[in-house]
Amino acid sequence: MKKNQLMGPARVLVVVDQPLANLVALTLNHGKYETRIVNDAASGRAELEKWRPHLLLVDLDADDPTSLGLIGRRVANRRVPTIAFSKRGDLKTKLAAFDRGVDDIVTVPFVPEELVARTLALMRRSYGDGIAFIPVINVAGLEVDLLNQQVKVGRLRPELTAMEQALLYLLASNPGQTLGREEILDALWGADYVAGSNVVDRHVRNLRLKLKDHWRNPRFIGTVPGKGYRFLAAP
Amino acid sequence: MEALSGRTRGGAKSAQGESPRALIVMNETLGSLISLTLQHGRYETQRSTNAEECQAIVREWAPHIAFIDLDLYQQFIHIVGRGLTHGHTPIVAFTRRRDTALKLSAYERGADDIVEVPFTLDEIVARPFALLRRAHGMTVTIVPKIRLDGLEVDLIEQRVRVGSQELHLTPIQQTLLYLLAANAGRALSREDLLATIWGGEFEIESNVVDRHIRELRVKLGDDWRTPKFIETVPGAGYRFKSQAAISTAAE
Repeated sequence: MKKNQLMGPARVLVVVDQPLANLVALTLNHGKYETRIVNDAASGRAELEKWRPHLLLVDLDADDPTSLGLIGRRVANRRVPTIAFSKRGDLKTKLAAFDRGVDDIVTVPFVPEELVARTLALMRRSYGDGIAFIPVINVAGLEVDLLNQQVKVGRLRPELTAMEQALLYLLASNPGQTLGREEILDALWGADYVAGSNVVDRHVRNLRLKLKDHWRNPRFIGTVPGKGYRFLAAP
Repeated sequence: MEALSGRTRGGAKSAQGESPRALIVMNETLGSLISLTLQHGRYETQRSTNAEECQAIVREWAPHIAFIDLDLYQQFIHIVGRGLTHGHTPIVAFTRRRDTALKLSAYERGADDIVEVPFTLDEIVARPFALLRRAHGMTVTIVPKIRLDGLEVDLIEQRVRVGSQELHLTPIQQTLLYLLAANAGRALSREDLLATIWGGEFEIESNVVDRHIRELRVKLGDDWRTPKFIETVPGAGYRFKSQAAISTAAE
């Protein structure tokens, strides 16, 4: 099969609700992508035609059931490589998506690393080996290395676990915005797996330690009493 | 419930009536879970972790698909991919490691899809469904309901029937139930359960297994003192009680 090499950055259309959409967009910085976020299927359809993306990322668990209809649409006589997001346990939706010809599925919740690997694999399958992978990116002034699972903090390079990294990306991609514990739990763990646990607070504590962030005077992760956590926007 | 089946792409050879054959290269605990779950697609399965035996199986039995634990049996991607004389056998690789480099190299060496631990059963049914159609034009018949001894489970609706009672299970409870039932008669340690379902890097409290077992027992109406389904084996872990063979439910 002849692959169409890309000249510039690949255009990626993200049809996903917040705060996940911001997490997806930040994670895509591990490649050379230009991303555009829309939050409903109708705008997704319009953007497919107008903007002609090279890759479509669509959340099938959004409130809008017509999002399934975005899969398999031909744009300018080409099929658009597509990855769908689907909730853990939802076999019906996954089969329907594969039946419509989706290329891959990312099960929500996911960690950034999985999205990077699946996106990269599909993009290289579709457009050749020239598709770039950028292991080290800047996240709110922090240098994060996906391959070595490290973050540079001053002269230290603590290792982040996959979940700590996911938490950092989720918070940092929604700066200034308070994310509730439930919201974080749903996005990263799935309430089902760890019901009734303090897993979010424990991970925030560990992440703060590694980032040398003090809870009373934080540079990165602020506590919003009674609500949750907020990543402090860069001054 | 009517079985779901996908459309076959134009021109693809249809293999109606033929059961898909799956080779499973995994340890006993995980292999049993995958093998049981594949009953939802009427697969025939063979298991091996021996290189020569795998080569023979590939040669003589010609599996349509292979499931390989990448963390333990990485070299089998090569062994399975090599022995092929008739087209491509899709390989589903499993990993607990969040390692992009490892995954990309697995894709390059012939893995078609990668399943992350923790996974739930829907992925084990849906991903091969797509791969078999892509590789062989084969339409897997999805069987939503199977019987696990006294239980009838419906993977699509995520329900379990015990006698006349219908219960709703969460994806993790369903996976736990299948894992125990797939290894019926054998005690699985907390470490086994944790490693197979949650994976090494999930970083959760160590009592998570006990908590989920407790919830599952409550739903199944199972008393821990006189359990019908899940026994506690002191010092060893948990064991699914029934020894009877697991049979596919009549549609």
